[in-house]
Amino acid sequence: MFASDNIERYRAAYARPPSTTARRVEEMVLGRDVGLGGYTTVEQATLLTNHLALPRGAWVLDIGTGRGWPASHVAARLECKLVATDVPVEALHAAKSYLEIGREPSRAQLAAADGTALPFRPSIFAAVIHADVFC
Amino acid sequence: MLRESHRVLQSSGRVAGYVIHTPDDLSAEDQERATEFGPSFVTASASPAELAASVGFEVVYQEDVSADFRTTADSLFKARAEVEDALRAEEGDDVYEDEQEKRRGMVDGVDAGLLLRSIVVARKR
Repeated sequence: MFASDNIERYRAAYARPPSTTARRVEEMVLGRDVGLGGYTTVEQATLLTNHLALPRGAWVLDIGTGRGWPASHVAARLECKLVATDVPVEALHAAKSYLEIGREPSRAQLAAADGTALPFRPSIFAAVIHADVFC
Repeated sequence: MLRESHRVLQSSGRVAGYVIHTPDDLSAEDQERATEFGPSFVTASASPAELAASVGFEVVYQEDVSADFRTTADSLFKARAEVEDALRAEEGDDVYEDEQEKRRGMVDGVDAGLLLRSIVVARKR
């Protein structure tokens, strides 16, 4: 998923808290501050959610979660159980607040994982989501 | 990654997401240019649908959202430029310039017909 030079770049970027001004710009343009240059608007996150059509409590895997957008939107709308993954641990730390982990009831868990070698048993997720992480 | 998604999905489970990709049938030269404009992961020569099908998915929905993508990237670029001084102070010059270059590249790539963004929803066969 990541070229080695990109890993360091992403680690540095996620370790840096988004600036107040950058967050304000993203909220104005995307409808939500998502951090690290995402391109998924709230409307597009809703479109993605609608195409999943999952029952409440279904397990959803997010690959390349970044700061947790649009996974946080999907999890909230569907009331699903979310496992959010990314390679840089710094991204997972950043995602923690966006995904409201630690609050009750928590529906999200984090895992440091590469999308090309997922540390999960076969056939356990009802859906896999992603945004601009691969082609 | 699609292969791993297929493995961990339940029967008839869906993989859904937004993909930045290149148009079909680009020349090698244009493919190289697309990589320069877009994210470093824009390297696959096959379409998202072909890639999905190759590992056992059936595409059930696909929509080209490149126009919205261009609008978003351009709006972010312009909005950030309007508050350039504040962003340079908060992010630093290098980050500010990298971020702006990235967004400008996306806009230019779409305008040149080298980058597309699509939502692709596929079901495990």
